Amino acid sequence: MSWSASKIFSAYVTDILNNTTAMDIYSDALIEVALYNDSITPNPLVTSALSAYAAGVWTGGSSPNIQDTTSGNAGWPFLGRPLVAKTLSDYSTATIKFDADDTVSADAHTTLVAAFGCLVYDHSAGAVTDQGVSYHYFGGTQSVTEGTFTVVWNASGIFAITL
Amino acid sequence: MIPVLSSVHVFYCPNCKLTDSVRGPWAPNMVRYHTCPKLRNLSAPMVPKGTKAKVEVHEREDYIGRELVRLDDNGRPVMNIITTRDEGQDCMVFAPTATGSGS
Repeated sequence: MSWSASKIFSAYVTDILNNTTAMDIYSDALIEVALYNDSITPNPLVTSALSAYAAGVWTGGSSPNIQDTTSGNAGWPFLGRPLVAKTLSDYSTATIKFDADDTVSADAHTTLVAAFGCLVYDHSAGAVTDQGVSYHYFGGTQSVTEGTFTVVWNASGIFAITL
Repeated sequence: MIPVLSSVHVFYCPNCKLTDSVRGPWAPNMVRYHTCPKLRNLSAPMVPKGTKAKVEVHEREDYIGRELVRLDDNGRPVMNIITTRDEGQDCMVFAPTATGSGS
């Protein structure tokens, strides 16, 4: 088994509704996008703790976590690249949509090998450190060599909850 | 009198041959896009003029299921657009929307 779908962590939603965490997707400074290879099988129904970066299947700092392999690793570090220009739809629509600008490597000479998907997580302080928001399966292997890696978020948003 | 110099960056598409220019600062990791009629009308990257490159669309390699994926004009699921240059390769991957449906 490996991953095959893109999901919101149920714990992310229930923790917010239960007010057990102070995660604010709008104002939390760092929502990160970390890359992973195909050796994991994510589960959207795990606990908050197991949805976090560097916990459960989301190993941090080594395989299956992927980073830029060029000198300095700055293009796309293990911790990921941040979401910028985040937006959240308001109460007037039946689908709650969270979106942001496309996420781009920090430089134009990034090298990444076999990224199959990403973990979106809240890197700001919360009840659970680095709690997961969602994960996204790219549909196959993605690599760049001395280039630019761009994650283009779907027009339907990074995540969407239809009421 | 001192002239104010403004840098101009020229880009082109290897597929549809469209050219475009941008004035002002341009970070190396910034990408110029256009809607390419030769690449299924997707928003595709352009490359700096003078750069030998090919830009190709790849369809998703795996089952879609209930995923909200990027579709082209023909309804085919698009996974990524790869730009291959002499000295490297860029990738823009279309990430599906995460939902709460299913498990």
